[in-house]
Amino acid sequence: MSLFKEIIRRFNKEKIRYLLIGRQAVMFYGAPLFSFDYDFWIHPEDKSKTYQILEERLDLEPSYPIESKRPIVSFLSISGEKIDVFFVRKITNKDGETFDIDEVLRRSIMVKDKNFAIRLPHIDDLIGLKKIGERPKDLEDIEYLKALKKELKIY
Amino acid sequence: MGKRRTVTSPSSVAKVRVEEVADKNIIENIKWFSQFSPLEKLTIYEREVKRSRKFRGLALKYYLNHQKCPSLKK
Repeated sequence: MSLFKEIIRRFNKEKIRYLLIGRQAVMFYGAPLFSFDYDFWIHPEDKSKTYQILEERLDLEPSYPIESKRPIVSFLSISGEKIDVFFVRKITNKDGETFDIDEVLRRSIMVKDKNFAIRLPHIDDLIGLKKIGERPKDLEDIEYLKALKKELKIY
Repeated sequence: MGKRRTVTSPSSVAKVRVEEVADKNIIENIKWFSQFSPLEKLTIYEREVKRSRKFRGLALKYYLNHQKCPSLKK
């Protein structure tokens, strides 16, 4: 089982309040786009459970210790995989829109296939979250998400 | 006095055409990818990432072997 599937399996089992954000979420919506990192937005109250899973059980190296107040922590695997985790309650994008994790979780969707299930933000929230960085790759993601919204008729 | 004509510059026409082609490509890419289930999408994704990593490693090795600074050469 790949590291990513193992992380998702454990997050689901331990009832971590997580959201897959970033390109992988865009990919699960149906865009054939790729990037090297995995991005998660995790409820700050689940920080210690997340460290237990990623650091202690899966042996990933965090960029900051658990006591750190840093909002973003990267976890690195020996094989070079990088998992970026946002431990914040609210995120504001460049348009000034603020996203609260409880609300985004309430609107989120679960994508299921056989024994695999993953939680993604609603497509509108994902578009909003993509406006945090507004790098060329984020703008490309937004274009794809808007096209997907039209194709999939998501409202 | 002659009639005033609106002239569309060739560059703006070209830009619109490029955008149309890009939109068409996005739809085609989405349609192609939609034939796969979520797990199949993930498999394609992981395979592509692995392949890119391999090429990134090879590119770095090539760079280190061919750049001019001898102290960085293996």
